[in-house]
Amino acid sequence: MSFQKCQKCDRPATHKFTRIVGGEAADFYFCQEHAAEFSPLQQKSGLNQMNLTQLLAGLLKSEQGQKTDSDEATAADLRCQTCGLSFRQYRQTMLLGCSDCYSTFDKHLRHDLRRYHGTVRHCGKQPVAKVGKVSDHRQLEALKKRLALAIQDEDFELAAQLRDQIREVSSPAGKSRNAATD
Amino acid sequence: MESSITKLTEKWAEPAGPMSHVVVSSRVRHARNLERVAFPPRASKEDLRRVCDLVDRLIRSNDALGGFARVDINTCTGLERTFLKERHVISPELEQGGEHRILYIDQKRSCVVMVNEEDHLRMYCLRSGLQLVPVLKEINVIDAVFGQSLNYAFSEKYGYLTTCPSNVGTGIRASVMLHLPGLVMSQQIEEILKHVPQSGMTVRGYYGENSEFLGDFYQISNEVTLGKTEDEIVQLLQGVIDQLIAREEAARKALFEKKRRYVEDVIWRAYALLTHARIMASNESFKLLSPVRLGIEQGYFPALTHHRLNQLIVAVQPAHLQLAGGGEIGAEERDVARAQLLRAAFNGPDTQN
Repeated sequence: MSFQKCQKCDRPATHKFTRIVGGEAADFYFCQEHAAEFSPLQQKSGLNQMNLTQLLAGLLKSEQGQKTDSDEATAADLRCQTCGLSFRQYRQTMLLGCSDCYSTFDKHLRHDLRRYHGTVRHCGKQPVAKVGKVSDHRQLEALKKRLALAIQDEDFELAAQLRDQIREVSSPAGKSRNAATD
Repeated sequence: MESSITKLTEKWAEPAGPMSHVVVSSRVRHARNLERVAFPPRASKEDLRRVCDLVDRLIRSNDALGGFARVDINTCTGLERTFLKERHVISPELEQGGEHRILYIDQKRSCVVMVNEEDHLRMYCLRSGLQLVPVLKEINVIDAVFGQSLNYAFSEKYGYLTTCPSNVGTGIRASVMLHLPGLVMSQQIEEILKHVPQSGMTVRGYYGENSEFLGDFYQISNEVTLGKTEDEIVQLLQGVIDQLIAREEAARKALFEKKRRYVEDVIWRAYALLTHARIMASNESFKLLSPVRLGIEQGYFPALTHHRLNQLIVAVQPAHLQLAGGGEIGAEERDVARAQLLRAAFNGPDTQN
């Protein structure tokens, strides 16, 4: 593999990012320092001096259709009702104030999460206290898998039962009941 | 207080583990927050105290957590905090001190729980050598006990809600510390490390995040915590580590086959200084202990093991020297004490040298 240099300076690139830009996958190569600029979550502690909002806004101009300057600007004044943290403060430190911040800043956080982790969906384990109250989503997936297998095995009685269960879980009544137990 | 800190950690990271010729240690850490309480950077003193109380009550009342000894970071001196960092028990973040920050340490299980660092709870298991899977298993047990009694901040969408979104999801940081003098000496290290981020991992220095690279030690850890299961993340890291170990072993083999005289010279010169110098600065000790560690598997130093050398590297750190000596001493005196300790370690305690 050829030796890559940072696209912003001439030092060796130690970080590679793959992003979707304009509908196509593009690779970005950066040294440690410029990697931190490109993906703020990469190295939050060194970034307090920089105005991240401006940095991101400038960077985001080159990614069409995903976010705009005005999105970030209006977001800056968003404030979490529970802990009082503003989105601007979050951008400065990359630290959130409480669990409710995740819902308050949801839209903008999803953007950060996608850039850093490449995804926005948790699929790891759940807290022990919450296991047993399986979520709609996972329950549904499990039921659908079992239905497919039942059909394959030509166990139509079981398939009918599973189909009914799927309907139950998918229905608004089923959803709200599950939500209440969560 | 002085002796209790050293006593509480004297068996830390014991015993030696597998693959110790390349792997120094393996660690898996979970980050957790409690729901309905502001995260530590934003929390009030009352909030922080409440978290400490909740955790304390849980640990006291639960037999499964009976092995944990409690240390209030605020009652530690600066020297003691640095000592704990040098021992890889606490992070440079917690070394800063602060109120309502508690450390629980269970040496037998090699587990630590830090309260009110960046997250309400940071719990980890650390063992010597390559032991990623056992270490994950152990910390999952602790996590389950805590999770049973405390209400973790968790959303189905985003997983465990951490203070920094870079940890959200699984909240897991799995890392392995490697000693790679072969790759360094054969000048392959930059090229190799450049590839590490491409596999979703990150490279850190001797003391973790934002620390410098010392002694040819490199910590490899996962970068991404969301979108994969804990097992997948650990497996991926294991894969990268296996490759790095293979590359390092190959580099060492090639060095000893093709550049034996050069490598031996580096090792034995280092040994000569370590066994005779009267003044030894910390940075220099790292530079010399690294090649000596490389020489162990060649059989040059029958009295030494990789594990013993890891311990020696910790023992010559500034806070360690001072706590062993009984108090703070200036930089010059430390350098003399370091040299003394090294000579005794290599030549024997009764050395005339």
